[in-house]
Amino acid sequence: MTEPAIRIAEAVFRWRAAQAPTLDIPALTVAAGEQVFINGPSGSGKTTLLNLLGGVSVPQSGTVEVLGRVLTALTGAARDAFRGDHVGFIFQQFNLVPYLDVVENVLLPCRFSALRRARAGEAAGGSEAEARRLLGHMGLAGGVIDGHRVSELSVGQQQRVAAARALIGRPDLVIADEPTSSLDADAQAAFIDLLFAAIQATGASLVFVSHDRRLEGRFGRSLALAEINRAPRTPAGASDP
Amino acid sequence: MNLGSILGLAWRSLLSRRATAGLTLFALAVSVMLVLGVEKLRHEAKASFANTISGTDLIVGARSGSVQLLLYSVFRIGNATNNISWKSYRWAAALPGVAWTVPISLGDSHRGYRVMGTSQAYFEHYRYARKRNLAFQAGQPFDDLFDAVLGADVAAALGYDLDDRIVIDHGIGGVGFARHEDKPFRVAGILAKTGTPVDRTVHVSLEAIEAIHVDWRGGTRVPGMAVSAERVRQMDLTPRAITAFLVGTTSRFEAFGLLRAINEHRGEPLLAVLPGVALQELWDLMGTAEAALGAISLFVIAAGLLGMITMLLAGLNERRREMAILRSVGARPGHLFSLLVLEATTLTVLGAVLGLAMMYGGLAVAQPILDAQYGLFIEIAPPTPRDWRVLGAVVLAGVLAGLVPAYRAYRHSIADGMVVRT
Repeated sequence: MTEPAIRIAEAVFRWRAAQAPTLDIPALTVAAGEQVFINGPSGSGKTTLLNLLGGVSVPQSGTVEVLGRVLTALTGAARDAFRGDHVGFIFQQFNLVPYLDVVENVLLPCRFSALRRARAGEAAGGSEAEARRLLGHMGLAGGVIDGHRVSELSVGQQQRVAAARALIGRPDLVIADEPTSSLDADAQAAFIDLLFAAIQATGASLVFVSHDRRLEGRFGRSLALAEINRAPRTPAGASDP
Repeated sequence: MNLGSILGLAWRSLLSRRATAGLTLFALAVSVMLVLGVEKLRHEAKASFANTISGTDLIVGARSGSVQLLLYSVFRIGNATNNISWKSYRWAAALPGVAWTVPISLGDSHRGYRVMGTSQAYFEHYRYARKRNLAFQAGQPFDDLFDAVLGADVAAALGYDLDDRIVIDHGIGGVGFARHEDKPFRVAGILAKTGTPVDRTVHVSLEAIEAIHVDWRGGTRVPGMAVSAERVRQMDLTPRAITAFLVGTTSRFEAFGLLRAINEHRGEPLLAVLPGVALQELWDLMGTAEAALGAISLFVIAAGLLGMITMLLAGLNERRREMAILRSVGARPGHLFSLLVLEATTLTVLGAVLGLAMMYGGLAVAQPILDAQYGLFIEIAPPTPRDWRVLGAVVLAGVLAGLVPAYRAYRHSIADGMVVRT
């Protein structure tokens, strides 16, 4: 793929018209297949950036381009569909839908995206086998997967299920938001190892946002959101509604 | 993204909240059962009511109210304020256009069941439901002076068989202090079940009523004037008065002329009514109660739906995370809206189905009880078009009720996006 995974140009986002911008990014490019660490402490506009990349919000001015598609030119429904087709998300915690079992959670994106359903179905044995294969990559064997409610899994196991979900149907971009912050140091290292291996297997780009700079050494490129965001920093916790 | 996939999520989400969702479902089912049950009872009561008398063109009694006349002469409820003379009865029976008459004499009872004096014509002409004649399950009409014919319920409840001896109580006070024990009756016949007050009536001849009262005046035995059962057979037992009589005409058009002639009779104040008109009047009297029942059912449904809205709304706050996850995998706010609407729809559809099943279950249990206690026979029939309309309206109301939590979920999902601040 020659298109960059992400290209942001002169994007300015305000929660309310009269307010100072929360996010003001002159330029940000992530190449296809690249793994980028973005250091984003709270108050740096991290949530807003994730919502822009996912197409949940659009900037008032400037453009956000993901995988060559100009999100700012799409309708809300088209952005939702695009996200479902091409982007996998992993959040800090409470990543799973409590009333679905492990495999169903992994297959969740296939309910909303025909593309990812088709891609997952291409795998040998169909989409459920693909889900189990991805879970296996993340170190979760059948004993953990079956017969347990997701709430019975440890936080580390839940994060691995979330990673498998983000990877099902081979999305082109994976965005992880503090995925290791709820894990202890050993679990963090293990999780990152597994994530890297799985991402490399699919060839997806990875944007990893965290305030924990100990992890940045493992990435090819590291950025500080505070540096690429020209908007004034707001006090922690008061940045977004 | 198809609706089926969202329905699958809705179903799983409800399953995960079995306890609350189950209770909500049960509340809805109870309200649906009540609405359908009340309607069923109303309908069946009205039908059973209208079925009580058929093929009779006029009912005639002493002048009072038409509803009162209908109640005591046909339903055996309440009492006549006055009797009518035998002379007036003979006069009316001889009017041109009269095909048959059935005299009725009430006032006594047997262990709580009304005793009715009448003539053989009763078994020939009295009709119920759709012009059905009375039939005997055993025995035959009374022949001897002290013969009695029992309604089906009387025989069943008191365990009587043919040729059993029964004693009539004086008056209708229930357990009689005064009894006509000197003149016992023999059970000559037992009628087949009709589902009307006939089932709860003991029938004897008019002459028998006269015979057991020859030595009575004003509700007590005349001292020193006991007349034995044997001696009374020799006496003239033509009644002096009867309570009411039923009239059949030679042609339906005669009924109106006869109605006027009887109501204008100068010898004695009489009242003639058309049974259909009196039944309608009586039913109209109950219209208010009927409307109140209908209104209560509606409120019960509303309460059930409010419970459902409460349950879905209460769940929404703790489900913000779940909604954010669904959005991150490609769900639109509209999908979350339909998720909540489908949860509400699933609950109401299941509630309606369960309510229908519970109504039939309840009916199966209540049917013999209602029949035995109130003589109200409720037919267990498939749902009527009206039942289906009620069920459809409940489901529609459930979908509409679901719009409330759905709109909230929609607003949440727009405000939260993929990240919920906790």
